[in-house]
Amino acid sequence: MGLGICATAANAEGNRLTVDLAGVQLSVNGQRYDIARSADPQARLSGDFAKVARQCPPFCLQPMQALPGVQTLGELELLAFMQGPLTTGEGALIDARLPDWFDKGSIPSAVNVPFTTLAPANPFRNDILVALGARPLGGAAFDFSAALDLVVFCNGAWSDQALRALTALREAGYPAEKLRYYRGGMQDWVMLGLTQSAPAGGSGG
Amino acid sequence: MIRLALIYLAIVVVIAGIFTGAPWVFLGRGSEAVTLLPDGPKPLAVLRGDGQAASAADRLLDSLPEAAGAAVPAPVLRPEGAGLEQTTATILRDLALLKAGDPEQVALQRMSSGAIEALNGLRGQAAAPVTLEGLVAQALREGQTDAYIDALVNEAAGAGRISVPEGLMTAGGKVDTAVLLAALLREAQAAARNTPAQVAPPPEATAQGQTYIVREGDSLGAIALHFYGSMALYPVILKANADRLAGPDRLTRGQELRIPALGAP
Repeated sequence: MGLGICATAANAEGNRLTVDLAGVQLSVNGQRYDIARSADPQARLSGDFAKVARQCPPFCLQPMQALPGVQTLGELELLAFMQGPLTTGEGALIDARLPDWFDKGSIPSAVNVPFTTLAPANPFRNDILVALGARPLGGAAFDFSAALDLVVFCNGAWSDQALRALTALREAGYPAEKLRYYRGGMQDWVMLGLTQSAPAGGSGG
Repeated sequence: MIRLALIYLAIVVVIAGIFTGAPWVFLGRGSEAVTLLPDGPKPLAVLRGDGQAASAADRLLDSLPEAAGAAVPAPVLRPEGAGLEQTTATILRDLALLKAGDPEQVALQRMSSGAIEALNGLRGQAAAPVTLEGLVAQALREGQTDAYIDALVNEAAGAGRISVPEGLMTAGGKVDTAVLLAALLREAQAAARNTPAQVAPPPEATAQGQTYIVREGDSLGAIALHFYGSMALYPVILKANADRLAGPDRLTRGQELRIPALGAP
């Protein structure tokens, strides 16, 4: 699996991510994150992510393949990304939800880039592309060869926000091979009892 | 000039609402008198600040194009349709000189700044203003001079760190901070009077409109401010000259522009 190198003993109560992997530690620009899996046998979903009946539209089911050439990740691949490109400064984990959701808890180390900010209607869209590492060529032209590798997620398979963010990035010229889709999103992350970046506030297990 | 005028307006605002007074109001340095631009169209030279005594900041500004060199790309432009009025409104809100705003625009600005700061944080870059609006607002809070703001904005835009509304690009390929500061002052005055900024009809406008020859340093925003009293109306000129202007940032010196009379088809 290759993830075992950073296995942590922090989750000593006994739960593990996999047989080989107790937990994951990472350091992004000096900030340390520990990701473990809940060991509380009483933990149940509650709050936002316990809800099962959501009306489509807008809460429609999302495809496994977001866009041609954009890889879809599960949790272990996401953790590998976090220990790889994110740790080395070549990647970013993008929470495409709106700030009120992000503030309730996200995946540790995620950056909030709401999907609406990536649409061309946002006057600051090109400023965000620059912050993502696109090299300005003047006007609205960019060289994306040194831009960050991105994993984009939202609330999960019942929300289209990650897909809208990915679509907007592709339309702005972001290369498909630099984009990845964590389809499970917060719904799966919370359901699996994985560590959130903020106090769960009743939304987790 | 604008810093003192804005400080004056800020003091008015602070006195009006003393208990919510903003702690950032700095008193200006030096002994310049408080000057408010008189209402009405201004010669473009005034908007550009032509004829002002050269200061150290001006000389710094003059040295920028050479220092920048050929490797620096043209500034990053905003997506098409990004309005200049949003830029002034954002700065004035930042300075607490304007309270209300289009909630959608306010939210976009706040979310975008947050996203950019967080992304820059991944690279260990210190928190600093990350947009044109943020840079200008902070400089005004610090009581910086017009020339300093011009140098600051053009340095950041020339390095591709901030995007710029296309209507603010001059025929010389720089950011027209003079017209931005003039518009800020206008809008701040209007906000202090609690009335929308007056769009004065151009006294020399005729039903057939008129023509204008572009000079070095002109931006479409400046021309719109001169003829229409509002830089936000630059799309009127852009539309009337669609056959000769590839984009708002494509002004060239000596170019002849049609200036339609407002309200004319």
